[in-house]
Amino acid sequence: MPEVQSPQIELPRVIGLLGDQLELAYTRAEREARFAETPAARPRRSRRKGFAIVCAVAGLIAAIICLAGIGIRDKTAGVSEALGNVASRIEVAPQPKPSQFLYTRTRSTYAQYERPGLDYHGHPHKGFVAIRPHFQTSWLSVTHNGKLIMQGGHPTYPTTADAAVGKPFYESLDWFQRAQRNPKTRHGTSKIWWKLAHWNEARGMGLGVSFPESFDAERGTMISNDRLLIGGEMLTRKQIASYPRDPQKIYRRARSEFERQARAEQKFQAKLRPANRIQPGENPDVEESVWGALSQSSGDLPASQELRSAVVRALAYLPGVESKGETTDPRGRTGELFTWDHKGKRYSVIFDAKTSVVLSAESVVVDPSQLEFVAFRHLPAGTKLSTYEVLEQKTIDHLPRRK
Amino acid sequence: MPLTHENISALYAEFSPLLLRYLMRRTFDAQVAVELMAETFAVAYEKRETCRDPKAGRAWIFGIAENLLREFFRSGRIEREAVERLGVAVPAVEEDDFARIEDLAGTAELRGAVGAALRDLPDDHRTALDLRIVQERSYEEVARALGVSEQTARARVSRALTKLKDVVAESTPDEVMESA
Repeated sequence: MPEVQSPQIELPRVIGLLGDQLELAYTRAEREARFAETPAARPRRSRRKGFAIVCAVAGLIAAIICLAGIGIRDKTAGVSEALGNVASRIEVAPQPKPSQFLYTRTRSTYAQYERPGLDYHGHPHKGFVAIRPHFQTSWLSVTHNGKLIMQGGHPTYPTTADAAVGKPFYESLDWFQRAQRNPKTRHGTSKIWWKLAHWNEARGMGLGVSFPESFDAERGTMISNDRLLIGGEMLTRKQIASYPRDPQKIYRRARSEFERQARAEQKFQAKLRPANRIQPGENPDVEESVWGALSQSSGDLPASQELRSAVVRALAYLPGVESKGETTDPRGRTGELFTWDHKGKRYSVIFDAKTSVVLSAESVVVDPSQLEFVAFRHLPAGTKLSTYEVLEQKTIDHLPRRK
Repeated sequence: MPLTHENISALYAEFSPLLLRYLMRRTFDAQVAVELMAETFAVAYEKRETCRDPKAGRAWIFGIAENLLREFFRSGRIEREAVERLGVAVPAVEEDDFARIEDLAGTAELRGAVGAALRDLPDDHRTALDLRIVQERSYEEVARALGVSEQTARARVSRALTKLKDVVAESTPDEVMESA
């Protein structure tokens, strides 16, 4: 082939080398065609359709709920009373002053299904479940903007089969993150670019964009927060002031908010290719979301005691919640246990015996065959799908300095 | 008149630098770009009789490349069927060739432009992007971390990506865009 000349820049040698190889191949193909007029067509290999979208499942804490329009049943009367006791303790528990911050450090884990696809080296894998830990530190105030830092940890695996696929996958991810932190690593940038192209394709946007800057997942991300999450809604302080204080109204409002979000999600999913849509049970359903929102709000919510106790009382409107009395949490702290069984899983939450803040919460597989999400059905009974623990909570006067 | 072996060779000689530049700017990976270019010209050879006008050769070649590129973004794997059928030995990109390919493609400026755009994003959009894309948190977690609803979190990530996409489009010279 003739040389390609460019006045401005020196052309990559690979252009010439590839040109020579193509020329050789063309010539060879023509020679072969003369001997055999109809070369046998090779069977087409099936194309891999999956790609790696990480789909997180189940919230930090999960939850209960009620079929629309049902009030408190007889069976829940005991729960209602027990939750009432928890709620009344909130009303007398010490509170940060308006100028202070509620400092909370938590550790949470959740089971996450990684769909079959490619790892960051481009090698195919057949999909696996990993338990991913996250640490979160928050400074929240009734009157001020707060701060929140999230950090990830190393994943573990619920079964040896998951570990066999997942460990190599995350080793490739670690490599990717190391490369990403080194701005000079050529492949670091290209792999991120590639990964983003995948992610965007998943969202049907078809664009390719890279992150040339390095983000540090281990140091965590700092977020300013001037709104609070109550019952699935992000509310400003002004909106919180007009949020209902009646437990039943809170329950209904949270439920209708999650129903609205579920409809919006459905609309969004309909735009995706079928292979990319979330599968049944992959995300928390409306009931689970309501449990999460109502059982967790008393943990680090810097709202008034009145509102926090009303949110706890609202839990009683979810049918199936059971009061299990006093217990100790995984860290040996005394608290009051509430459980809820839902779709093959048992959700539980433990409120501190004195202050009624959430000490810990988890969801555990009870009957794998009843799990809605097919990719979790191989997990043995007793597998913890999500855990949440408050490691430390105290009232402090100042926000941390921004690093 | 259908294209011949000689026509394909001539198209390679004329357009391979431009095609490599285009593929490099889309994939940001020199080796991937070279392999896609190899497959493009292998497919072009196999289908040479379907292109009847040598003058339309450039658009035809870039059309083949665009299809392969789309397949690459969709499935994450580089199509090598035609390369394998023809037995093309695709050369590996040598260390000192990387710099030349980057010069050819102007990837340094592109990287700088995207970096600047990333810095210019509103903090909450950039953080949403970081949490969702780089840290791969679920939308539920992103929403909790940012203190917004899941829908808002999705909207922020999507807006941030759209913004970056615009920057890539702006910093892509016309000749490459027209070729696409």
